[in-house]
Amino acid sequence: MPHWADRALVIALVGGAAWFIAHRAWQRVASARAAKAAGGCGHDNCGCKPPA
Amino acid sequence: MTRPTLRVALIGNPNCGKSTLFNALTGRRQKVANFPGVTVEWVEGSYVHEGTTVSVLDLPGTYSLSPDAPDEVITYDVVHGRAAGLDPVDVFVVVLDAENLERNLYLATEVLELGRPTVVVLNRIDRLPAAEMKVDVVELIHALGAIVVPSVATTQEGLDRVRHCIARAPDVPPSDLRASGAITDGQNAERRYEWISAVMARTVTRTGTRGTRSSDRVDAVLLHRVWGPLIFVAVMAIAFQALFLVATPLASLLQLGLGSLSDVLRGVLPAGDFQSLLIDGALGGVGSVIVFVPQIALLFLFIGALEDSGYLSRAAFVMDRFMRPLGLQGKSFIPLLSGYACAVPAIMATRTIPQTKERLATIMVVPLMSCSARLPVYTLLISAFVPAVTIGYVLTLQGLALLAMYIFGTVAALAAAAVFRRTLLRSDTRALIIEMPAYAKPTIRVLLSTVWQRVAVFLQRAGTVIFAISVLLWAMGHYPQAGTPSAPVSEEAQLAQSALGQVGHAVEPLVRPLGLDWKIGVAMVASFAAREVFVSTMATMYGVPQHETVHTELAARLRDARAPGTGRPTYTRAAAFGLLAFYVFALMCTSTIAVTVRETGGGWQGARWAALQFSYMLVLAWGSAFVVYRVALALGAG
Repeated sequence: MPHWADRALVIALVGGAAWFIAHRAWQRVASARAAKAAGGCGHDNCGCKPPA
Repeated sequence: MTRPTLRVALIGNPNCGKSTLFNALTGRRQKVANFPGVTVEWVEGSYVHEGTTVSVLDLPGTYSLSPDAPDEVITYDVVHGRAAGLDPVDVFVVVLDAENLERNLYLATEVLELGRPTVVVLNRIDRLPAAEMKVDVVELIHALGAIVVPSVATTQEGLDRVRHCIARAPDVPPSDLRASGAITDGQNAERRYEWISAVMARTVTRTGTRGTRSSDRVDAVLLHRVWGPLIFVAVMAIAFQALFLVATPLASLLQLGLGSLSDVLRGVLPAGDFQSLLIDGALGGVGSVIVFVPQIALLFLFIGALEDSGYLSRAAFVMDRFMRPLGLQGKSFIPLLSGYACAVPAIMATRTIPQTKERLATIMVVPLMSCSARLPVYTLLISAFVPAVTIGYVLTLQGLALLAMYIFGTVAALAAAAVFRRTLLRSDTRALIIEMPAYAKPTIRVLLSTVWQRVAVFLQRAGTVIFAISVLLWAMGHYPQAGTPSAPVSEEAQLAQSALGQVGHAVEPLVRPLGLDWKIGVAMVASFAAREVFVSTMATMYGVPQHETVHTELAARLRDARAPGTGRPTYTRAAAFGLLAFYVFALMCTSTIAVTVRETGGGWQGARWAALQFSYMLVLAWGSAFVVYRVALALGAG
């Protein structure tokens, strides 16, 4: 395999992994914000009341 | 009349079989167990019956419609149509445990009193002969004025009739206990119990004396003041021995498989950075975690068997005596025990604790219980630094060391709870009221399904998060490159020069007092996202190839590592013991932090509790590691 192809595959996989981690972190933040905005306690699917 | 959709809610006392019925009706795999308080939030599923989609809500168990604990509030809100984001329910299905009919009828009368379409399911009728009881179902139908369907949810007996009755319920006039004069005052518990006693006298025949039941004889031993705790400790000891002995050959098989895959990849891919990234980075990182699947499966099999047998409630009762001086009660014990598997569901399980301060104290200490993610770290360090010596015929020193890790975590959790309950979270401790479920043989199908679900979650993490982290760690360990293709440098020099090495050197002053070097510092920093990453990071840094047995090889490399120049061991046994102590106490799991924020009130309030939890555990971890290292050195474990 030519050196440039080897390097391109490495960059693609490492970039993909970095994107995946960042995307996952962002999803968590967005999901918690959405649940809060909907008037919930922060859970995705419950109507519980947090401790006072 | 056919409806496009029908909304149904399952209501009943804790541990009456609601989730088992839910799973049987919908084909879902909601977690079920033989102890009260498994379901702590609503779960929705559906099935189609005669062209109608029936949407089923499984609600947390409650003894009455006067809510006490947070999970009971959920049921109260759904029953009264106040739950945010949920449409009103068309049909209530009240699930009664036939064996505990008298207590279960209290909630049933409260629900029937609402005058809404209701189906009463008399569950677990298969246990009546063993309980020496007979229930006259026709008489019960007359007394309640409602549809009553006998059923055994575990074997799906009577399920077709349950589905049929649910579909017809909206067209049947609802029961009206008030009009029939059965209940004269909705809030009068005494009057309600009198009425229930009269119904019990008409519907239930006892064919023997309950005092001679075999479960009572078993309880006399398991709940004994002396034998009870001893049996509990013995059960735990056997389980941890089994974890080491049974899982090892299975892990070796997995290692062989991974080795073969690695060989195939090496043959197919040309040599270069990409080959190294796939084999040493991705496969090495993911593989070093996957080999722990047998141990994790066994751990969940053990916890599941304890839950389903009915022993867990007894364990909570036995432990209540030891928990009270610490300011906790037996109900806190079940979340703590669940913490052995994973802190996330364990923290959610604290919703069964009605008192806010007891609940918060339990949340704060649950992550000290050694979860399954710590197992890979423990196993690696123990097999590297604890000799594989057999004591007697069955006990091994490594198995005992593993048990000791769990004991340290448990003792620390209890001690921390005592401190919290005497300082920040001071309040009176309430007496424990817990149901003793009937002993039952664990259902293998349900047990294996639970184990598979947990293993699937673990594998999913290995295939996504750990894969991505392994790839990034590989990149950080390889770049910037120290040598050139024409003048390569040693692996050690490359690692020291890399981004990963620079992070390690930056944190080295923090780990040096613990007898550890920058490489362990790197693995510790990387594992703050998830503990099991420690093992994959070490495998990546030590370049352990997959064609060898990765776990055994990595343990050997750690044991044999020598400091450049002096030739002395890089990691002494004292330092390894200190590192074990660090992992027993440190909170290194982003999921746990997130769930603590949510369960302690969310927002800044939750964030403050989570920050306190993370900080006190980090201080405890570093302090313990330092003390263990120094003491072990003084005792000659250098």
